[in-house]
Amino acid sequence: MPDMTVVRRVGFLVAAGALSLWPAALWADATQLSPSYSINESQIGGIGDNGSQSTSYSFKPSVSDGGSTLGDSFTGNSASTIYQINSGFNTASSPTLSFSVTSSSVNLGTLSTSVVRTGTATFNVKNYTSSGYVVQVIGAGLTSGSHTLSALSTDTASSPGTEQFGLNTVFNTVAGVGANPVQNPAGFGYGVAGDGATGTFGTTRPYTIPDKYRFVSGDTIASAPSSSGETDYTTTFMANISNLTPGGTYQGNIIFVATGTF
Amino acid sequence: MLLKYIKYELERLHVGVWLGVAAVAASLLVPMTASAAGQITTRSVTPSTSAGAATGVTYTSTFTLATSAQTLGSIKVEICDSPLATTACSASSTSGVNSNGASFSSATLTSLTGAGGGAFSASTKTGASTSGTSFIFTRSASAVTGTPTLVLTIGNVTNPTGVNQAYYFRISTYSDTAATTPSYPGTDFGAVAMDTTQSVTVNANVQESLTFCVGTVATPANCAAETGSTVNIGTGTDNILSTSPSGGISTMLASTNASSGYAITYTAGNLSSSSDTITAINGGSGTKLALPGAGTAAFGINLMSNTAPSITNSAAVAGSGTGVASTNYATTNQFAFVPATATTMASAAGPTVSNTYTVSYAAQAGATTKPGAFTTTFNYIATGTF
Repeated sequence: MPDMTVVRRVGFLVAAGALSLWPAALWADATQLSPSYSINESQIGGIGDNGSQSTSYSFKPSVSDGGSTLGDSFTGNSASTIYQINSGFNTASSPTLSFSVTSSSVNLGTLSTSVVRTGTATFNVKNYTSSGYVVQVIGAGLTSGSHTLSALSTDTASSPGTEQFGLNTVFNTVAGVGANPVQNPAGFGYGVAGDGATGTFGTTRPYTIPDKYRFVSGDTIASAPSSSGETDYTTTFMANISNLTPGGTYQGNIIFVATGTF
Repeated sequence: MLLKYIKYELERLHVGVWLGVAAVAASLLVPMTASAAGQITTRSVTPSTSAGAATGVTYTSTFTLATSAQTLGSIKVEICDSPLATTACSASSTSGVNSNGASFSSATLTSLTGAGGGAFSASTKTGASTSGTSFIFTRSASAVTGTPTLVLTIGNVTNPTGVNQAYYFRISTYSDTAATTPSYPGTDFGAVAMDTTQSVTVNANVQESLTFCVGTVATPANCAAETGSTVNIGTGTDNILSTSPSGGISTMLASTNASSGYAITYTAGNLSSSSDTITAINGGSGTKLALPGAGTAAFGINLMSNTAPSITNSAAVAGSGTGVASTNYATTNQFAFVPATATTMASAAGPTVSNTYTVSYAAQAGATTKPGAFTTTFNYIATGTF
């Protein structure tokens, strides 16, 4: 009797395998796409099914085998400039974008004409099934009454005595503040400081040049080119004043906006 | 009995296999019209702010249709707790508000471009009672060319109330104007994950500043270089004031970050000895005037370079600041002096870097001026208006 059961399952699998030829062409949740077909979350491996079932069969592990890790020997992400693969069969079907700003305020203290003032804020981003994300910074800068500290429109070094306000997202060697983006856990995050495209990281790319600061509302200060594990960012705010900077309490609401492309 | 059962099972299996093959063949012959929609690609939504509970937020969505040349009569967008078309958006008890607090109830269509054909207009907003908040845009149905990329901008959206609240923006397209054909999720469908977060408040203080110093150093570089508190206006080592005019100088530096600048006033009594007084020029009216002819006593000041009398190191206002001398103290060889009354002699109208003021003191004794040691003390005050 047990042998009969095995035989019946073989027959079932043959039929189901044939059926799977057709749905691949119609259920087009495409990450691989051509004019004539598309495959949702395309899989590479020997047991490539993520829960196919009908009224008469099922590849869904929880249904047919009572397990949830069928073929799921490891997970991870492989990527190059033109492709990426999320490994593992039980990947989530939902797009996700998790964005958390972990600092609600930054106090730069009393500004000075002779000493630069800095402060840091942190945020983290992770996303899934997307073509990456960008984080933009939005705000009016630091304002007191009718006066707004001069925002740096280009990446500029701190110059005490000159009115300046800016930020960056890398470690600053001169001021000794800030941090480069940290992948958490290491090897699974792909987030970078800056927009990932303009100029060269660390030398000409906005917001990535150590000890140079900039603030243009709407600029991209961080990004990832693909699905990414958590990347932890540290933003360093810098301010200087001149003799003419009006006295007062300066305040600015800085908004970070993360946009995923799916 | 066992052999008979085995034979029966094999025959049944045989039939079963063929039935399976037949089913496969049938499935290949009959096009499947499953309700699966095409997957909208390269889709994103950028809010003008991601702050939780923010109102008046502008959402800009860019997305590329999947089904080529589809007939497009309406587009529906939703804010949901799930990205899955098979999962209904959860509702709240408040009409037009999603369970996470998001709402299109006040939203407006700013623009929807890229589809070609007729223009879209805002249509139905669905309340929360059945499917959460949603917004439909319609136009006269027409086919798009290929798979265009559309840009949708919606104004006045209300973000979910939570901080670090994950939520999803769904997009679906339909061939009719009621967003019902084909049935949900329509011709094409795509979801975008979004997340609210807190803003960062950056605080800093700038102290009110007024730098002002007085001394007797000619052209001091800064206040640190300023020293001295006595000005001799006579001549020679004995500092003799004669009936011929003579004078001396003091200097001041002033700067401020006061929004309305500063004013410098002086207060001083008459130039007097224990037994006599050198009359203030022009009767002490404060109106500028050249020193009178020899034999008439007079005392006055200005902020200029002077030649009559020739006063060593006298100079006009210097420096890159915006400070200026008052009218009655701004004419070469003309002087003014108001005794015992605070009088403004210089000012700046706004925040300014440093100016150097050189005060020239000019005097002459009269024919009947009694001998003695004449002196007066000037108190200078700079007042910033912030």
